[in-house]
Amino acid sequence: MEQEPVIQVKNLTAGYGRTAILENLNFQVRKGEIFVILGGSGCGKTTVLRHIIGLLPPLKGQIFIHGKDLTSAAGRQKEALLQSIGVSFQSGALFGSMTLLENVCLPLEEFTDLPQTLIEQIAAIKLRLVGLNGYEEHLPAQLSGGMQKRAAVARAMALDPDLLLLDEPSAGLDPVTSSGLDRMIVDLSRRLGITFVVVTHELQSIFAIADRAIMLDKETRGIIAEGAPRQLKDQPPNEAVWRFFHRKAASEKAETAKHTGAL
Amino acid sequence: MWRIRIAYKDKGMKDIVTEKTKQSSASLVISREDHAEVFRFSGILNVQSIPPLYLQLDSYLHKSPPGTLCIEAGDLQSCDTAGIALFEWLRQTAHRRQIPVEFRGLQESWKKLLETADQTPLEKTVQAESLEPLAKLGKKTFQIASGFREEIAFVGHLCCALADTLLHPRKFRSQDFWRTCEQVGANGTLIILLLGALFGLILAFSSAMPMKQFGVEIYVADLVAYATIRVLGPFITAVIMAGRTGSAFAAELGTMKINNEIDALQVMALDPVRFLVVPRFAATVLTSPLLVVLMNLAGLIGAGIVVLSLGYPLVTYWNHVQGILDGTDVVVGLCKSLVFGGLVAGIGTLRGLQTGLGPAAVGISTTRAVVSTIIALVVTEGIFSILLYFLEI
Repeated sequence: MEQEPVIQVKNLTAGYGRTAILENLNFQVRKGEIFVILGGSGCGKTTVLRHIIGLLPPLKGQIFIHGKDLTSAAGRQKEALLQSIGVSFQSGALFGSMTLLENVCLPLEEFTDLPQTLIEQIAAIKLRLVGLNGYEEHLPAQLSGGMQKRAAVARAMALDPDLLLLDEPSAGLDPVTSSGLDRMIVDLSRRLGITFVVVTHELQSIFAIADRAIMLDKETRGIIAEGAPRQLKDQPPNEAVWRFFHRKAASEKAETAKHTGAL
Repeated sequence: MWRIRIAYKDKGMKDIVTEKTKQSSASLVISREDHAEVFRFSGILNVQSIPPLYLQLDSYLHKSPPGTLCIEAGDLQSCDTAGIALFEWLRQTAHRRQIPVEFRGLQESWKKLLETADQTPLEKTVQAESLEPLAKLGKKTFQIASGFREEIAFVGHLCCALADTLLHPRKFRSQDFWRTCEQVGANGTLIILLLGALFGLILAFSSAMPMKQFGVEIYVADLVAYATIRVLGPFITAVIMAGRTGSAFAAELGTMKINNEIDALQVMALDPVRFLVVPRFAATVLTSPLLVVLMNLAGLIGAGIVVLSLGYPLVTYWNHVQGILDGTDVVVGLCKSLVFGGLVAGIGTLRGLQTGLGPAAVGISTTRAVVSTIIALVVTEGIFSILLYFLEI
């Protein structure tokens, strides 16, 4: 019997207010995999992520988390669903007036009855898992961008969610830090069995972490490819995918035409 | 609802069970094997099932600490980080009491997490922060001395930047100057007029009452005019400016500091003091006397209304005002306003430039700007009073 997907998106029309950015999206994320949402700048990757975490209501369609409809959930049911998800935003979104330890402790203090000793112990474990041991008492502003993103992941993992969503985790980071972050994501996924949904357009990261990916396109306003990244690169289903994986602009038509002839 | 059951199975054996109707239940059986006390966990150890277990364990370990502790986790269905934290807490508690601990039946992934937890010397981090009282005093003294040094350096830096601007007027940021004049002066006019009139009214009323007993209530005019023009007009205007302008400067420059805009100026070889502080300082110093004039006028009008309501004609009131004041009083008040304006702008911008890291630092800078300015204003007013008294001005 096939396992129930962790996330199932059905006929989703994504956008802000009444403006649709993407239409009729259908995909699912399986348990334990690292699923990447990729695409060029402005194609709506973050918008889809914001729909999945319930920050934006879908214009049409449904989103199921662990088989439960997030779009129709309300009150405590929605709260419980959201507690099973950890999210790390592009900027990290750590609370600037709190130390790293306090940032990670916050969800545990708010949503559990655990004693403070255990809460601090859990938070310290999470910070160590992302390689930030020794920085417990630092304020976010005292850390580098990469460290802030790691701390944001630690906070997202505070309640032991089985699903972590990361928005552009390697944006603005140098290749070494970025690759360290990629290794951390793979390591956490393999060690703790966490399912990851990662929004990114960094090719190196995509190849380093993704088990499966979907590619969004702002011209067709939908998913233009789905599969393992290596497969998408080697057998691109269309010109846009080929251009993305070969870093070619649409203006470089001659070369593109030569390659797409073989598609 | 949680239900905790503690049942003594037989001698030296007890059973702690936590139950929840649906997803999370964990149980702990404590038994004695040879010389060791075995804590056998089963079920699901997670954030929901641990709190009641923890309470029971804590009180058990306090009442009857075991000789040797063996933690058996082989029957656990699952164990998240909270469970690992519980194991680590047990290990640390046992370690403090020099009780040997042994773990059995841990899955490989749990072992790795426990190793991670073991490397987390949380208590040491907290201890490192705590300082001896004498060291604290030393640290605080050093901070105050450094702050004082920074303030003196800032005054010097500002004087140099002002001199540089006078020598090279084309470098002056006139746009910023006029924008600040509008913010400090034009936008503050209404509040100054309103508060000035109310202040004159209140001062006149409160002084009229005791004076009436001696039948000299007309001298309210002398009192209000003298106090307002020489002392209270400039002082109250400066306090209002500290709240409106000084805090705004601190917040604006503080936000620029945390957004690295100040660093950007420095790497472009632009002096932040000349670029940001000089226009604000000049605008505030020059606008301040204008606001003081408005405050004085409003104050005198407010007091005039009271004198009129006491039955004296306005001509009498005006004669008294003219009689008590001379040109020196007006000049003294205006000179004070220049100094106060400089204090408001200087301290506001300095606190902005001293902003630390993170968004909270902006709030701290703003508060420090207002508090420091008010203290500086009171001290300066005191110095002025003594100086003017001895100079007989």
